[in-house]
Amino acid sequence: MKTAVALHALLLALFIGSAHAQFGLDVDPFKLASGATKIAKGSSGVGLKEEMSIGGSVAVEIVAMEGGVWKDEAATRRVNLIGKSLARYSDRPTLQFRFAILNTDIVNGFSAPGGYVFITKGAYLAAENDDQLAAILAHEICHVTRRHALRIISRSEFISGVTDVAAGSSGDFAAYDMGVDKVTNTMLKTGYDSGSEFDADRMGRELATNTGFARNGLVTFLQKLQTLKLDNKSIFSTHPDLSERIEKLGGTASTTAKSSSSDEESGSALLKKSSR
Amino acid sequence: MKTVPYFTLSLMLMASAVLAYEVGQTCFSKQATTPLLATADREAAKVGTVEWGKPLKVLAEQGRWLQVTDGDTKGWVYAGNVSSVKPPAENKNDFLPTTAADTTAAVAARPLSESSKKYASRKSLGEAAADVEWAEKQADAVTRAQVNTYMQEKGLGDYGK
Repeated sequence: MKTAVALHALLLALFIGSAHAQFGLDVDPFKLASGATKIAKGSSGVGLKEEMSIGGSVAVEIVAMEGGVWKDEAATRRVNLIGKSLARYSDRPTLQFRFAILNTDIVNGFSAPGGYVFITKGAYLAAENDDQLAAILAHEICHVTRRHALRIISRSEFISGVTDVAAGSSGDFAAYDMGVDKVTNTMLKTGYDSGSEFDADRMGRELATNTGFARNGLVTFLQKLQTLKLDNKSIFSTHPDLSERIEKLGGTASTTAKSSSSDEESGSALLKKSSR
Repeated sequence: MKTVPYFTLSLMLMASAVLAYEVGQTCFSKQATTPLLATADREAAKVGTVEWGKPLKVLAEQGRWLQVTDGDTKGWVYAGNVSSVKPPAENKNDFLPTTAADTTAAVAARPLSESSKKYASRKSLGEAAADVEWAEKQADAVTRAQVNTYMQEKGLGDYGK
């Protein structure tokens, strides 16, 4: 592992000069190079190369477990236009974000390290406008920029496996695979801790607002979901309760959540609509 | 007459709802370089440039724009280009190539890594990996220029006021 870290630092030191020229970084390259190891790994203990590796593998797992990718080119283009607008003003503006739609009727969103952001077809079709789509995507972008998933890896025993395998060495595949499994399990089954979710709600709202989308996009979307006759497993099952999220964002939660009214769209209608 | 104070109050509330910054507050540049502009307009003349992580003092706000100073130069920045909290040092890694083989183009469009492809192979998830690669190609086909056009049409980002 020490060899991999030293190699990473050496490569960074060698190429910081060219990065300085290519990206216009107005920093002292020698000063930066001297602290390359510290910067390369950062507080999460995972560098960008490792993040891209673990993120790609987690993305594969998410796609495999959530019905595959919905290959609607127009819809995918739309979420990428909205998502890339948001990403430009995120806390990691040069990270290569990719946005895709999962071919499932449940309403949910997922993200993987490295910039992979997914929303489900159910969420895409339930969103009434770009503001609500932006709110869902901004929430997921903030999970990436705040490195919520990487914290799971960095504080676990899997970090050495991730580092070695991502570096291309033979490495400990078992440790790497267990690391991917731990992140995937958190995302698809247990969900993040509520603190991380509320953090992503709050930061996502700021990101959407700063980009120029409506500030209340997430609240109005969550309020709409409250009116749908869908069971808990079908609506943001890996996220905190809708009412709690709405109230923490300063909105008013429905006291008759999931009850129907004359003008609301029923869950069954939504599912029928989304199955096209 | 009574409507004036309410209107003024509404404007104040709208302003505070749009931005999370206050005059005198410190914010931090989060782009590799952020231009300081003469006015709150993306087409305005550049009066200076601040590097990533630079602390800036907020002097005024106008819509989604902030007038700031780095201590030497005063100028306007788009609020989306700064953060209210100091960005972590590791974010600077995003600006750098990750391997000796990286070129500027490669950094701009990193494909599914070899280690992720091997992971998919070990787990017999080839179909899902192909889906991810399809999604990557679709995403990468949406160019920066196309995003600019979308933002301009919608009045988003620094195309807005």
